[in-house]
Amino acid sequence: MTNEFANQSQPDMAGLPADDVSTKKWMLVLFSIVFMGSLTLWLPACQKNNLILAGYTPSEEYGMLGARLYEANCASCHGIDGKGNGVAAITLDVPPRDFYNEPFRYISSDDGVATDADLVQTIRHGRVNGEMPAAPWLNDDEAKALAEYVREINRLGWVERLAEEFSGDDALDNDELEEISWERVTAMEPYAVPSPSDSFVPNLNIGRELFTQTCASCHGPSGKGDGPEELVDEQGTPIIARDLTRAPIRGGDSSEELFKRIRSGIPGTPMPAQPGYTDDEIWQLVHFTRFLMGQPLLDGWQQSFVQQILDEGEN
Amino acid sequence: MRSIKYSAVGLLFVSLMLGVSAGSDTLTKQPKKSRYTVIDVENGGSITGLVKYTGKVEASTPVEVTTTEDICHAEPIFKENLVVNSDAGVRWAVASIKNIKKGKPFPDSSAPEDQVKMNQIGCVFTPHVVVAQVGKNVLLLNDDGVLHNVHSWSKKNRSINIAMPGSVKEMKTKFRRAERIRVTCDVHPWMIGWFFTTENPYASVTAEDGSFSLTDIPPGTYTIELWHETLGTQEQTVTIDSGKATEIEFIFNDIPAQDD
Repeated sequence: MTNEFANQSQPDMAGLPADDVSTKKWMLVLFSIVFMGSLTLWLPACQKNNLILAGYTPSEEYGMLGARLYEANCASCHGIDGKGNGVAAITLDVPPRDFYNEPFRYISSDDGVATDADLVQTIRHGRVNGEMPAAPWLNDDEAKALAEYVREINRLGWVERLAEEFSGDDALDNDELEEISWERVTAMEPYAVPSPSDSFVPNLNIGRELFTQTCASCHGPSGKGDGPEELVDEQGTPIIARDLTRAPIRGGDSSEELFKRIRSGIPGTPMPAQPGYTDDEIWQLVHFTRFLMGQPLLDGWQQSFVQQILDEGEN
Repeated sequence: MRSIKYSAVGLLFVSLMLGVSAGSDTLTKQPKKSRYTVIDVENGGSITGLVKYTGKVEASTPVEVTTTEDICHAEPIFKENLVVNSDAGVRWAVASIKNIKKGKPFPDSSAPEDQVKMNQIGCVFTPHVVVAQVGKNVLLLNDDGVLHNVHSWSKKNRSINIAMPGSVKEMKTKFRRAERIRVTCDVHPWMIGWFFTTENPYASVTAEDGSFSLTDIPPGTYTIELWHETLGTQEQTVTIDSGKATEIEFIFNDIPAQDD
């Protein structure tokens, strides 16, 4: 029985007679050529069209590196189109950022836009108290390529919104769409965090005064995020001001990061920039915020404040 | 041998693919120049106009003041999104000449009192609508001794969100492009103001009686656009003769349905 079956099936298993073998090989070659040919048509099409991100053109500097890294590492939460709707997004307590519709939050520029360095830092370090993991394994080029890619997602969101908003006689042509969307996502006034001036003396009384007049209406008089205002972000989602007494702060709680948050504000949220304050005044606010957080400060700062409180108690 | 040939064919295709994908666009980094040219306008014509709303106006009640009551509650605050007088005249609409290419210069604003400014008084953006030239500084003032923030909802212009603590009485900002920009204050949610930014000086905010005027217009045929934050826009074509005043009227019968 088994032999019979074996014998019967033999020709099939072994393939066709010698002539047919060569035919089959040629068919394989033909198939390969057709397959490769269709690939050449399909691959550029998927780069230019919808499979990666509508309207995306490969980067001049990094080609498809940013897109590939994004797909592999970011898309599961932030979504293929960057709208914060990846398959894993639903499992997260802190929703992933919608790059397409929202501005980047953690910035160091005076015009409300994240610099390359800001994006690289967020990508490399992740976000404490959010669910964004750090990616220290990325090399410089990879981190920059990713930063460029998410910025491009942000820009393409602007292209769509601008085209929607202005129609008819007011419609923007392609050049204007490119130009304006580029302006919206490119930081023109980045700054490096300056050191306090030579005459700067950290003084919690000054810090408290500035905090009371500037921060307390949202963050509360003692920084617990319990100010009287009901706040919404630019998408209309209710949000609460950060409880500054409960570290960690999502954007990073080093003095430098606090300086950037205070000077530049947090785009997309009610947190405003402080162009009306000098850098030293911002440093006073940084020091007071660190005091609220229970973080150590510069030498000589605390004594005067404690003394002040004692003096107030005596009076 | 054959397999080498196949890989050669494959390589050819791969290189072809790379060639196709390498072509990418570069971004335009310089903004376009202004499309408006200043000329001497001699014996130009003018337009005087009136904006009316004939529909129902709901009796307005003061907004509920929930914070910094001592400053914001000094006088009752009424919303200004539809201010209509007893003769149906609409305040805070803006009449402008659409796409005018040549005309008079902007008024000289070098003296401090002539500078374009928006103040915050008693927790109200004052005036409610400000016409501002693109690329020129606009003064933001805070006469109140409390924190305000000027938060813009611009599309063509970068968004601003500037804190103005009670101690900061004056700030400057500028807008690069022509747009109708809503500004709000996150601390006082009822506060809403508008910047009408423009490349040409032919833009006029209607007064309490709904009237406006546009002057020193070179003779020609123009489209006049009337915009109001609640009533929407209307357009009229007007021919301007030198030295003559043309009267026009914009009449709104109802409030357009909101998209969102």
